Amino acid sequence: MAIHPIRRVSLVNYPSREINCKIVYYGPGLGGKTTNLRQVYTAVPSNHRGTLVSLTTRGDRTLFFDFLPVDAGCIGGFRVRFHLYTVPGQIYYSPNRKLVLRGADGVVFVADSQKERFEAGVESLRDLYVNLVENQTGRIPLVFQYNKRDAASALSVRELEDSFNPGHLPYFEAVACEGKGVPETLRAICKLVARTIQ
Amino acid sequence: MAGKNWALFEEDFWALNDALYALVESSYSKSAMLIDCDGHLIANVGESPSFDTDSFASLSAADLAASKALASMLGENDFRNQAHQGREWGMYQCSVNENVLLVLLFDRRTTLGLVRLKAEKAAVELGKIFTRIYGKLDSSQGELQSVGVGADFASEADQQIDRLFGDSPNP
Repeated sequence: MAIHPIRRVSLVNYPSREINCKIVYYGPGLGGKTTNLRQVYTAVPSNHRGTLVSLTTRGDRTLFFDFLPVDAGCIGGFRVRFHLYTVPGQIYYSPNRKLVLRGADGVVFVADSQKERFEAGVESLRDLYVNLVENQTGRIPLVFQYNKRDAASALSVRELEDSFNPGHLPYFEAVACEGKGVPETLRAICKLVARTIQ
Repeated sequence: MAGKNWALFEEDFWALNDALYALVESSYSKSAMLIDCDGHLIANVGESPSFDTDSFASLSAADLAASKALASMLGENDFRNQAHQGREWGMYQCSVNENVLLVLLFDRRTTLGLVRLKAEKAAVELGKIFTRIYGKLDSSQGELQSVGVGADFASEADQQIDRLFGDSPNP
């Protein structure tokens, strides 16, 4: 059964004319996923976003997820909402990541550009692909964000592209803590997800 | 149903709402919600909550997912229900099926025992409605390949998204 053979629309509520889409920010620990959501929270008008929920450790590391609902308004007669989630990046939170990834309609992979975090990024991307398969997610939009472009040890975009994105999916350079690249990334994934709704 | 898609149509929506209304009345609860396992709110009846229901739904789904994972570690298929009680408010949640969660919010007008009793009965009835919905979707797969949003949906979405998410500061 399904509404669409390639991708899933998490929930289309015809009586209330609502479409809810789930977008997950994935990537290695301390890569800037939570920072992305905090920047989105700041940038989006308050009447278009809900509460930013963060389930964190005492050290302010993501324990389960961060969540921010964004109301895109009325599109084509439907009220479209994007539910933005982050996953905890640390290796040992793998079960939590798999749970949060379930039902995703689109994924932003936030890679840390710093050379010393490269291996963690590769490992996280591998983990993402394994979890997508295990969750039977099917084909969904994916975009890459190369964060911390201002870091002294940042690898070149070409090096990052060769390793993370050989399929040449959309990518964006970012300095998330300054908000740079955050809206561009979000716009891209939201548009890609919206385009798969037919 | 895990990992599969579904939609909610008029008739099913009202059937679910009727069942929830009956549950709220019979259990003396404040409100009842149906939430899917991905954290989306399906239906909400009773007193309108003063909090962000989207956030509430995502946390409830996470709560259930975490408890299922814990149950699995203990060799159980599932913990069938959960209850949380504070000084003024109580919350009871149970699975309707593997994809849908029923959540009841209640105060001192009622008791956890009554809420649990009524909720478990209602979950069975709600489960039947969802079985009907899934069956309907299965049998009409071809017709449901499209959400029916219209040809201009993508371009309209592009414009709306551009308006909402402006550019970076100091690009």
